Amino acid sequence: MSISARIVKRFRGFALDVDFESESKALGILGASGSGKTLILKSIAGLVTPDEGRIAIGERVIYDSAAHVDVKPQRRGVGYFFQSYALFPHMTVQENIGIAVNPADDDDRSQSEIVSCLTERYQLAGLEHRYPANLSGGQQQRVALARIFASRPEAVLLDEPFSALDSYLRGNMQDELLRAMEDYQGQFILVTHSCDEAALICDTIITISGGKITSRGGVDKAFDVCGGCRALGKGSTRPSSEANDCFMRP
Amino acid sequence: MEWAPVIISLKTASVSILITFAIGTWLAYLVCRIRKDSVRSTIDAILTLPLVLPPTVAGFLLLYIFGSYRPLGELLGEIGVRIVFNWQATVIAAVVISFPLMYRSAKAAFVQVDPIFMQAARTIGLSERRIVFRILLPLAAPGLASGGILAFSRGLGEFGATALIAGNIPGVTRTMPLAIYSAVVGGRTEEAYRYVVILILVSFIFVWLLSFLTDRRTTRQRSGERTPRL
Amino acid sequence: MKRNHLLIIVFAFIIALASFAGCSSGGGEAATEEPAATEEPAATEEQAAPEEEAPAVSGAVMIAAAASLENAFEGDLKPLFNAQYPDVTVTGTYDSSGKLQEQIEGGLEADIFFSAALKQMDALVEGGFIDAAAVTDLLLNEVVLITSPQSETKVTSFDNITEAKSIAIGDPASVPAGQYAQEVLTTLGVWDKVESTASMGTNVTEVLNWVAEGSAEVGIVYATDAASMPDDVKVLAIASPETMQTPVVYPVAELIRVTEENKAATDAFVEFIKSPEAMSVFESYGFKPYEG
Repeated sequence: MSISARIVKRFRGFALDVDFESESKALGILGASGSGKTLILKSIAGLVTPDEGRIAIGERVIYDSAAHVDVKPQRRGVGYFFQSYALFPHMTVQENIGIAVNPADDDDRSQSEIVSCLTERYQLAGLEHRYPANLSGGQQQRVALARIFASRPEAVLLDEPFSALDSYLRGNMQDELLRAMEDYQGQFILVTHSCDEAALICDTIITISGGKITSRGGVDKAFDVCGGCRALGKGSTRPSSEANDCFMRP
Repeated sequence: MEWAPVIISLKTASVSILITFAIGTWLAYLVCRIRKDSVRSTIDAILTLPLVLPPTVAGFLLLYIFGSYRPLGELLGEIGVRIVFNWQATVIAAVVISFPLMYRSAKAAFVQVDPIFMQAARTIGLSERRIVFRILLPLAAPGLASGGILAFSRGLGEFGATALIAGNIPGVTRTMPLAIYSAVVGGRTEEAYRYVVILILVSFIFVWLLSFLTDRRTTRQRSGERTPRL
Repeated sequence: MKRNHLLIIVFAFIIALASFAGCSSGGGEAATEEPAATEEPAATEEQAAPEEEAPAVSGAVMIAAAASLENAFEGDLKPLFNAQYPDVTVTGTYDSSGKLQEQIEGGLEADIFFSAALKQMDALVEGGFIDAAAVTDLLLNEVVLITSPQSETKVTSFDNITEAKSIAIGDPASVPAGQYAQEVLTTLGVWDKVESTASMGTNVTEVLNWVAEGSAEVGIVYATDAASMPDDVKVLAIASPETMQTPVVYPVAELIRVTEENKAATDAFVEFIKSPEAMSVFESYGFKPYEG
């Protein structure tokens, strides 16, 4: 499946003007702060409306300015991982995940079954009744991931998921994410200003500067741009896990 | 000791807070969603107006609209609805006067909820309606609650507009504030004193109760949370 | 900079003091002569302001008068008086007689009390604020039943007042017009019924407004009150003297607290109030002279 996006938006003194298409499992958008990369993500998710453009996930067009198509974020099937996790502070872990679950008609599993499966999967057992304020950073991230996957998106967008963490935690978090990505069928787009991160997690990398794409290609190509990043190949540190889809009957 | 004013005041304030809370919260939500700045500011100013005008002005305007010989008042009279000089009028006066307090508190409560939660809710597929009831309202609850207390207390103490449209009918529309005034003017200061004490006690109980409730919720939510605050 | 600020503040303070000083004093010399007979306007003349100026009586006089007297004083009597006594400043405070009585008891520095009923005047005499000998029963007012011109009320007189859906009267506890209403209705045997459903105004103006707006179908006020809003209320009936225990008498008196320096001015005003010239003004407002 491919994600295609053409986005034009006037933004803070410059114009974002990008056009890309990707079939990779994990696409990275690499750029400095203020380069417009978060704006791309928000446009795809539907949290921001571009001035003009077209966005499609596979066959589904979710935004087309020419055809006056602008699907609500709720209907886009695009999950969004916020840098601050955005866990609902007044809800427990269980409730945070549960509210995203919408048992489709063809599944026979109930909401609570799905929630417990996801809780297991993301190592949150025992924390179901805790509030986000009483969770560690790592636990919060896992809840955020679980909540996103509970809504069964076709694509997941991640907004600088590790920027706020110190390097001690970062490694663990990246492993968590890689594990989650391994399980999930959909595609990922990760936005970051860290070359290392992009290289570790992504197959294809697009670099952005001043609202325009400055390069696109594989990990090696990105190194030319970054210069001096450690060479980490795809798959070398990804842990494997059982494919255990919480949404289907065992 | 004549208990009628106490009962009337409590009845009036209780009924009016239900109405005020619903309308105030709902209108605050609607106004928050208006995109165009100029339109939003204008409507906001109109809804806030009774707060800064003397209550007698509000009463006067109410009379102007609902008075027995005014078009709307006559129309309502045709279908047998009277809203002056009866208990319903005390409720209307209390609602109109306390509404801006509720509205502004609700608006402030909604504004201080980080929009990121609504955005996250949308991306996980929650309908706008579910977002309002399961995300926005619970997170705005402390602000809404304090708005409710303010509005209730204001309704309890309403005097100027009430005197104009509800009249001062002992046992029917004579609320505690009206009773206090009539008692003082009639030289019955002991009686006035008793109502004053009751009024203070009732208000204090409500303020204390709701303060207690909102503080507990706030502590549970706010400790160590990582979401950015404006 | 600080020095300049200080200067400005001091300057402003001086200006404020000067304006206060200017306000209080009625004039320079206080030539307190006995008001001579020539000050009284000729009985036959109905016009205002005689040619001769009275001796320079000066001072500030405060009169506390019932609300129903406000229009007469502010509209005609004060200007007429000041035409003869330009150096006397008259300030009027108007409210229900009950409130005024309370205020005077509470220390209000009034010089003259003009009540709408005997009760408040008697109370102040008893309280030592007024000398019984200084009281003159001056005016008579009538009690009337009013309604709005637009109303379709079935009420025609005090007898069938209970047919009204809503009634407004002054609170008998504090408003003399209300006391009289109670008297009239008690005599007619309908007081209990009215008391349980009537709206009690804390002053007569409140009652007038309620009736004018139609909030109250009918109301009971003085003839003078009805006369003050001729377009907004109409009189249905006048209470007959038999229904009232006491006539509606308006007594006027000078207070004991009047100081030496103010006595001349106060006496002048009281004399004026009792003059035939003033009486014709009162009559134009709906009052009648008390002959008792």
